[in-house]
Amino acid sequence: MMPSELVPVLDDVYCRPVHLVDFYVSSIGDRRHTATLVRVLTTLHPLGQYQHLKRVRAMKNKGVRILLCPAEPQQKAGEAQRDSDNSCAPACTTLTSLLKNTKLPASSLSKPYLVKVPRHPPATRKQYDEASLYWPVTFHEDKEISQLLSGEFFSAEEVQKIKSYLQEAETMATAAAQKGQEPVGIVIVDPERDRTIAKGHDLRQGKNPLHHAVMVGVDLVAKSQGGGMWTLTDSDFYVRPEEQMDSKGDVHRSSSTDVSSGKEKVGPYLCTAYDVYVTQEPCPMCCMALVHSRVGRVFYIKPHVDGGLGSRYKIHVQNGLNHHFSVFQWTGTWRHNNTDPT
Amino acid sequence: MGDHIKWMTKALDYADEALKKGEVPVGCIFVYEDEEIATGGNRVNETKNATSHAEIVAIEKVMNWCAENGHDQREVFRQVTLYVTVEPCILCAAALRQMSVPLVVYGCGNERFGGCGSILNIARDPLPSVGESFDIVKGVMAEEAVLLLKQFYKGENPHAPEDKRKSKKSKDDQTSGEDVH
Repeated sequence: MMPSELVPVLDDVYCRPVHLVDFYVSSIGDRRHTATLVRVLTTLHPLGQYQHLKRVRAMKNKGVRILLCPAEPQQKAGEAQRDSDNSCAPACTTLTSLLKNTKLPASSLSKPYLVKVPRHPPATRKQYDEASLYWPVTFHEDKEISQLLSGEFFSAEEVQKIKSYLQEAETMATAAAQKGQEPVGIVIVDPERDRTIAKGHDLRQGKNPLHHAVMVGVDLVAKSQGGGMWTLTDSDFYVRPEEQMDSKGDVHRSSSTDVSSGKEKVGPYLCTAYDVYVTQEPCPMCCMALVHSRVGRVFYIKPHVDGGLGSRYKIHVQNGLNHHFSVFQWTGTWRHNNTDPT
Repeated sequence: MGDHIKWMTKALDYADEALKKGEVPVGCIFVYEDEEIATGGNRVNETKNATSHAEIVAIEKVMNWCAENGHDQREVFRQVTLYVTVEPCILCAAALRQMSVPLVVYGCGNERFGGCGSILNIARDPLPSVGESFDIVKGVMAEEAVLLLKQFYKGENPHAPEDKRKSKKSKDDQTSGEDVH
């Protein structure tokens, strides 16, 4: 398997190491009591946020251990550290009521003690394998995530296409540099029809410091739809002419009707489902422009220290935002006359 | 506070103007040396550009004002106060920070897109390449700003007399709806 040149920038949930949390367990003297104990514990002390933990762990030659309760009362992430000399009072209480409810003799369970168990449900096979070293956990594999992580998400043909669009973006970056602009180029593509909607580059050194490559690109797409908010004239830029209806009457024409106005919606909406190829990781402003514009995927080459797609934030998967998109960083190299791959 | 109310009242007028044009009702004013130098309302639908937020529109007008009046743009931005009816979104907060705007006064929070603490805190997070952080004053005439947003999202006629308006559950669901800003 070749290492992928396109590295997915995923939510931290998929990238983090296994975090541990202290739990009280007790050893079961007679393993025939396990089922009863599990049943009673489920009502007495539900696992709550720790549903991914299996209640019992059968140890080779060491009998069976059963989870009683977390060392700390359940709360949101980021809680303070527990005192190391904390007593096991809550666990003992649980144990007492457990014995009372099951009517088992006190000798059937050991005194509670602490073990470290995985705090979060595993989101990847790697996390699952690591988590399982500490305590048995359940794992629901997300096929798409696994594929993304395997480095085999894109076919060789797709990689070639992505690479060529990125090279076009590099050409725009070079053009920008030659004009004394920040060397950031952008190409916005409709992947469904495999055609370029807009090409442009950074203009922040000009009249408006907000003319970052992404802001420019988004406005060029608006122009392709008969809109636009800025006057952007540059001989290197490209804007696809507005679509005419073709013979079938369906190209870029959605059949949906805006109920409130009674008018048929014409053409694409913002940058919905478009692919964005940009030579540098966008800043937070530009990332949010991509969210508002509802892009489908973003491919970038160089990371940026305050970038919003992996370096400083992950705005494309930010909780609370109404639109998310996929992001890939190109880590491969290519020979290209005009570019400096660093 | 008196000044805040005075300017926010005017910003609300621009939000109302945006509403009348079928845009999300957000309005803003840049104040420089106690004078209004630029205003803006959302123009997303008009421009087919989802980044045509009131602040972005007004930032460009400040630049035009500076050019017309022979002011150094950088110096002016460092001394302005922005009055905006809704918490700037992540995009606008980053833009304002990049322009070195030192103070932003806003009305209601923006729980869907807010960049001054609601979703991210672009106003204050350490972001050396984006520029200095800025101060905020929030909650100035928030109820009025929320009322305008509700009229937009519920398709109410903002000009109907109070007693004719539909009485919908209007608890404190601050901002709502899509693409606030």
